[in-house]
Amino acid sequence: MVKARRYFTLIAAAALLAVLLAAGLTHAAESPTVNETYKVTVDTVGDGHVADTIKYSKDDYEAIKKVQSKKRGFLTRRYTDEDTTGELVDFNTDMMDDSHSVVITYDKPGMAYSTKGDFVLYGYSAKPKEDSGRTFTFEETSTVNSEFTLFTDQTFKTTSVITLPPEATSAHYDSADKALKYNMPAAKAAYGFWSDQKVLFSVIFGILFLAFAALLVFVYTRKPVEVAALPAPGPTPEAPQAGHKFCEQCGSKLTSGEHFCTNCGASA
Amino acid sequence: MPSGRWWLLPERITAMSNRLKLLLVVVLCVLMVASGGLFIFSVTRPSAAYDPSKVRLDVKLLTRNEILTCAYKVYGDNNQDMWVAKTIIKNVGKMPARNFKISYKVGDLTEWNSGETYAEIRPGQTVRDYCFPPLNQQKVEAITTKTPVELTVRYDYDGLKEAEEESEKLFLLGKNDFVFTSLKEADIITFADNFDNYRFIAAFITPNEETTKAFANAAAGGLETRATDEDAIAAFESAFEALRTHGVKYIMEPSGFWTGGASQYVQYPKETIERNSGTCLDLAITMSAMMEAVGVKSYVALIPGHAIPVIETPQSGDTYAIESTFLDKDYAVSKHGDVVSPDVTASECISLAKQELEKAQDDGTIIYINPEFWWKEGVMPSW
Repeated sequence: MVKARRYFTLIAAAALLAVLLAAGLTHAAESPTVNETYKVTVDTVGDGHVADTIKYSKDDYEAIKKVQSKKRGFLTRRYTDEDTTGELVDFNTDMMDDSHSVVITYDKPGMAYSTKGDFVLYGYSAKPKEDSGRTFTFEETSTVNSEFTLFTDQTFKTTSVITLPPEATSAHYDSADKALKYNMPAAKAAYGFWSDQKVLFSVIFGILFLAFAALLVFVYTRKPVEVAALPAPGPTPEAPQAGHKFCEQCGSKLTSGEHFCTNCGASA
Repeated sequence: MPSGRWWLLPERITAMSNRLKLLLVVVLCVLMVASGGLFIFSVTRPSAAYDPSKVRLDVKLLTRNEILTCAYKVYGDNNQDMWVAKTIIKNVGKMPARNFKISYKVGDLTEWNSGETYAEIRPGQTVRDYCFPPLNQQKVEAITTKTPVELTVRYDYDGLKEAEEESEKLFLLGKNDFVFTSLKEADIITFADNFDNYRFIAAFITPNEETTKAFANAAAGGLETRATDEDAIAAFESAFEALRTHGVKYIMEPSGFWTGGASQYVQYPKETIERNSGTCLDLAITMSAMMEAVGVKSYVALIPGHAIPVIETPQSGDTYAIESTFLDKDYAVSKHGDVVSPDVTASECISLAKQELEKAQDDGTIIYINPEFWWKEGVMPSW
């Protein structure tokens, strides 16, 4: 006999299910197909952002919801077991009553491997149904047992949509490795644009600094024009006497025979 | 002077007023300070050129708590998911890490493995490296109780002065210890959750082990087990009778107290034959191994609190199960005398097992372990 404690655990689990599901396990055999949409967006360093939407029939959804309300770990236990220790972050589960769906979202750092510069996403046994060069769609039908669902032998029709980062090139499906492979631009230090162009910017601003400094020196050393003082206002000037000439520039009286104004230097 | 003649600007400046000069000086000062500031900013920016001394990695070693040594071959196969340890490496700096090399050693059960080399780990990138150690068979076979062992990871990359090492302790269970599930008790909800590790039962089914094979061949001598349904069923009954004649008794399992609740001490067929006793699971495993030894496809069915051997006939593909605990006639008559005759024949035991499996099937509480499938998947017989 299997160990007694094991037996009691089994009975407890069965009792729990019986109470929660009523007819849950007995209708397992005829559980309808479940449609699963597994969307993965991979970022530039290979981290995956996953949104898994599992759409059940109304009855199955209600049964799952009942169990989930009593056992909070029901939908997450397979994602948080020892096998996935340390791999998933920001795990979240939503029950969508209107669409009878369970939506599981999480991030998986390092989802795409890179050993020699190229990135690899493993785990796709069949060729993609659609391939846009950046987005790949896989379809798979599988039967899962109650390890993964509440019911025995439930058929899952899974559509996986994998979106690669915009910088990805040469993306293709490798049937030998059952994997999606792509290349990314060469890695560089992530200090930002200014660091990338450090030499160029240093030269440009160095030259500008010197140019402005030179101009400043030039301007600073120029002697400004000394503007002549205007004649003090006085009595109404006499009417010019016939025979006298006056400078057109400053109005000073010109002595006859002078070619330049002695006040402002303008040509007479 | 015409305003478009820029080359005459110095003359204009020469002729400018004090106010204009002041304005120009201020503007030029501002521009000079700004360009000087940006020059200093540019010069002091960290260089994007590769500098290994600036690499910053966060390295975290994780290990499984317990290793099922009965399935030690599985842990050495990187096509399985049964890693013994994993290292999560995240580049938390701004500089790519280059030539990251990592390798592992599990106590004295392995040498340093060849490990993996990651040509580059980008800033922000996470790498998960798994340890699948090929454990030494002789040393594993000697482990009979839960045994602590230290797993060490060693890693190196460009810019690191010397390789770094980290260690974690983990426990190897005895070669007969089987843990049915690795799930936390709170996470056991469905029937299958109780048998999360069921596939490793296939490692106990050892048809090529000498004692088992000899015993099976003697029992099925002269039968064309691979060819006809009748001979396959005859071999099944014959194996049952041979074990009974050998004096094998049904027993409750010895306590596997060091392995915790969800566990059991499981015998290999050789041990069951040599010890003349076994639990329901031991007997089912032995019957399965004997059938496989003579070329009959077999299964072990797990139902609540019990295990039953099953065969699939070669022609029709029909399945036949047998209540193998009833090969212990004394036990069958004394505990279940109401359902069996005093002779407790093999055909009676086949009929009883059929009823048990049908009920479990209806309840949705049955798991079939298909050894041939799991052997192909890498859960090879341990010995």
